[in-house]
Amino acid sequence: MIEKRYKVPNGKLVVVKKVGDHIKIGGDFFLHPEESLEDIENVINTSAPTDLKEKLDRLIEEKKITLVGFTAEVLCNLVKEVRK
Amino acid sequence: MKWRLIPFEYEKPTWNTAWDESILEHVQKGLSPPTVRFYGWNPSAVIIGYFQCLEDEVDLVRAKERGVDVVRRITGGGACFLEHDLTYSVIAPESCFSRDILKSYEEICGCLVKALRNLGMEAVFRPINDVWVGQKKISGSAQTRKKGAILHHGTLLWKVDPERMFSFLKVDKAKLSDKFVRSVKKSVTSIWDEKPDIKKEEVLEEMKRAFLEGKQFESGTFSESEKKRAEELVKLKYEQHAWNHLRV
Repeated sequence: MIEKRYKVPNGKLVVVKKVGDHIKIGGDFFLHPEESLEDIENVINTSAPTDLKEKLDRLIEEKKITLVGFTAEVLCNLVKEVRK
Repeated sequence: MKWRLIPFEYEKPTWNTAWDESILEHVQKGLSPPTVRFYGWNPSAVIIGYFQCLEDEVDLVRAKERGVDVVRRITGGGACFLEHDLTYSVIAPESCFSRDILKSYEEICGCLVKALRNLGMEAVFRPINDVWVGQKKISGSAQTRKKGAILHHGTLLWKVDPERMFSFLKVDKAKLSDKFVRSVKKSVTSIWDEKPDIKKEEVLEEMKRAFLEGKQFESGTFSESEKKRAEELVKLKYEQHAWNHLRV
């Protein structure tokens, strides 16, 4: 398992883990609705690195997801790191 | 709209989390009035955030040895060790608060700020979800919104013992030095530290006043339907390994 952690300044902790080929997200952030984490993980696990930010932004807009204490960019950076 | 106040009582951790969810479901369906509830924890507990990994956050062996319960909640945010602390829940239709999530944190935490100020403490709301007195945190909170209803719960620290707290909450062992404990003492405070002579009843009275100011309300308890659902949630969810170990 590979794990990367990032505490957003004035925000929350985001943890990205790569277990086998699968990437999981965790941390002490808020996400509304909470169930959308599965959609986010699904996009992360099925997108090419070059498309990831665009696909996440689209998902967040389409599903009206609110990220509190972190951003899609933070997620993308951590995903990039665990995939290295 | 008439609110319901459920006065302070101690509950088992699995029941406290189940009551919140049961009331939330009842408020969603219009079966229960908007509710403010105050409660404590017996036994002591570590309550982890919805997105956290239990094994990453809690020394499960030590918690079991010392009789500390460990439960995952339905709201995000971080793990907290709850022992002597006062917890509140505000459960209401979303229309009672700002649609903007961050603003609604400020509105609801603002009630606690007001209560603490009325008790003579220099309290301020500190985004995203905290209340500070001076330069130290005294309260954290978390919120979820589901099917048109809000559950916002938060804890007012009554007495902090960093050594004990971090014997259950995991941090890098390297951090768990005297220096780390000193830094926690410098960044966290409690009612005990700020107003050692104050009684819990006085604090609860001020919290009640602040959270229900300008609202019609009556004191009440859980409905039979809420109780039945809470009982199901305890058995089928909050006592279950699968729920508490939901995330790796």
